[in-house]
Amino acid sequence: MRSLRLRITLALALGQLVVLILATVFAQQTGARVLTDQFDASLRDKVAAYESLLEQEGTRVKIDPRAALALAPPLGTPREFVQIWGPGGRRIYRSPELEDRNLPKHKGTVGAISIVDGDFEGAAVRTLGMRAVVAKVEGTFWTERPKTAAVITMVIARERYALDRAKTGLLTGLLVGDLFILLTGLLVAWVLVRRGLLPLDAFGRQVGALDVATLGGRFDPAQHPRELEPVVSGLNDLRARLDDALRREKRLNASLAHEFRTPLSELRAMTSVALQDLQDVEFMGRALERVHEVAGRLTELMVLIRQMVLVEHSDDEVEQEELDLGALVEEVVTSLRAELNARRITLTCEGLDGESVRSNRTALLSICSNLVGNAVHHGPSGSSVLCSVRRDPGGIVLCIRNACPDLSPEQLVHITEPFWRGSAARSNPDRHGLGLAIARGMAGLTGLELSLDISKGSFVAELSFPGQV
Amino acid sequence: MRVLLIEDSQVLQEALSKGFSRQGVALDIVGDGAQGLSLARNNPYDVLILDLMLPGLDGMSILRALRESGSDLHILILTARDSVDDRVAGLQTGADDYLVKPFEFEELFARVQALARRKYRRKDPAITIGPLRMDTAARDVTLDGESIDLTHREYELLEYLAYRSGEAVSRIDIEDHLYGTTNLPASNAVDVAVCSLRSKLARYGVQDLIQTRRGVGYILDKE
Repeated sequence: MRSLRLRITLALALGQLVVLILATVFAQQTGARVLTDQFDASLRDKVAAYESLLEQEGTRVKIDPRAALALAPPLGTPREFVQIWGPGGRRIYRSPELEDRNLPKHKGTVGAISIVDGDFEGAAVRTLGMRAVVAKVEGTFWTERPKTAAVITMVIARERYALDRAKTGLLTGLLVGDLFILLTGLLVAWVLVRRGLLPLDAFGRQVGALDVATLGGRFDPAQHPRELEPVVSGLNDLRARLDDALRREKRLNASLAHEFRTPLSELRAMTSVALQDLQDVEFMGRALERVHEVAGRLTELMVLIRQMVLVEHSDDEVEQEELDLGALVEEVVTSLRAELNARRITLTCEGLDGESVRSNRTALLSICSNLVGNAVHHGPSGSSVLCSVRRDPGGIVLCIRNACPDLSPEQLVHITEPFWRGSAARSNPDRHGLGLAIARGMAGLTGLELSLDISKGSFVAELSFPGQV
Repeated sequence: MRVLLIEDSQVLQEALSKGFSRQGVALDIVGDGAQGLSLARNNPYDVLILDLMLPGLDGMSILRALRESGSDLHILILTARDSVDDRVAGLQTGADDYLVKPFEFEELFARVQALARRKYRRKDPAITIGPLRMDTAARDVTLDGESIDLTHREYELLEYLAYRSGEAVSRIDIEDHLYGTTNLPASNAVDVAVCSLRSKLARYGVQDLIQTRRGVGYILDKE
């Protein structure tokens, strides 16, 4: 793409060119008209001069040839051809340049003058033709004064090369002037556009200098032209979103590193202490058991992380099918039976029988496992968990409620963050803090809505199936 | 040397317990932050190994509480948090050392030894008292250049007396530093340990290195 500066300069130059063309045409037309008018005026003057030499005597009209010859233009100037006809078409005068040639006779009415361009014997001429009454009458009424006024026809043709040259000179001058104005205008426009776009250049440099370290800052709208406000605002929003995503990514990476550090340090500490004394068979056996146990936890953690990453980055369309929600929750409850019994937790299902929803089986099973499992793992021993279904105008809602006295509303914000765990769960190596993050991701992937809340000392997870009523 | 470990990982507890006990170190272990703080306040530990993410009370709160109460206990933070901010925060809150997980047991033990030396204002790991020379880093004892073989308990007793050489150390002090809270000794355990150590030293011709101060305790002195 061409530079903005060049585009604006070219647009300005184009505008300037259009104005110059119009101005040149106008100036050229006006100048040519003035020059022609001057030319014609000199022709008229010459006609008047010849006319003043005409005299009528009786029926005859005469002209003093020497006086007429004196009116001829000097050498080196455009030639002039003059021919005058008297009454009856009798030739009164023919300028010497015509020799024996005749100018075309004017046929207009008396008093009318016509001026036309034409050629005469190969030369471009401008010709004035007229018919007029002779004004100067010789004699008195008692001597030879004629009874009627004589009408003469006069044609003057003058070479027009000087006029044409003047017109061409005018046009050339105008075009040279135009070129100069155009180039000067281009230069001025370039400089002004350059200066005018300096804030844009500065903004461009600021944007170009953005990197991970400066992503957290914001552009100050007050420091940029008003026209850039939408761009500044949009970029600030983009920076905020990128910064947020980057922070989340960093947090996730830090959490991942952190999650692996503890089991790795367990493995290293256990193995290095065991290796210090190979004769201590009893401790060696116990160390191997622990190593096996930690390796199992690491494997489980890796599976969960993979599941979470797949959920967060999957663009695949998930297959949907009709599912029995009651049977699905029952499957989850069965898998948790041992822990329910061990911790004396009562789990009740209400209104789930016969409820069917449309979703992806694997995803929904994962969501329910995590939500119900979360309620069972984190509910106090001897407490109860309630799984119920209600029909809202927006769709079916699966609700899981469990007692959770330790969770505060402030902690609720972090509860779906990967690896977040409450204080009590932090020491339990089997709890990785990924369950709700995976449930949230799975819900998003399958078009379901997951909301989490604390109400009257209970943790409430609601899974909505939008549009399924 | 008596050390308190506040760490909620059972596997680490088990590994460190074994590792430290093999070196004759009295190690008390607790997984809960609040209980850990109570133990640290009420017992004369040489070093506290402190995890940061703990149930009950987090490690930074324990550290802050101890320093605010004027405790000069030497504290080593042992944590998975590895960012510079975390390290700076830990050290600025009053920790003496900071070790990031995963770690080598040998390094942890060496750092604990260094902190214990610092408690007794000794920078040189070698202690020389008359014919006795102890390398507390290598845990090696020589008498007139001849290496002597001591059990971990005997070594710990000798090291403690050497750290406080020239000073009469009470039986209760010795008991506190040789035995953890979970390993209650017999009432004459200290006397038996001192007697055993004296007889070993006597085999190498050194009779009066550990003297009894009647009604007070024992003193290790070149005189």
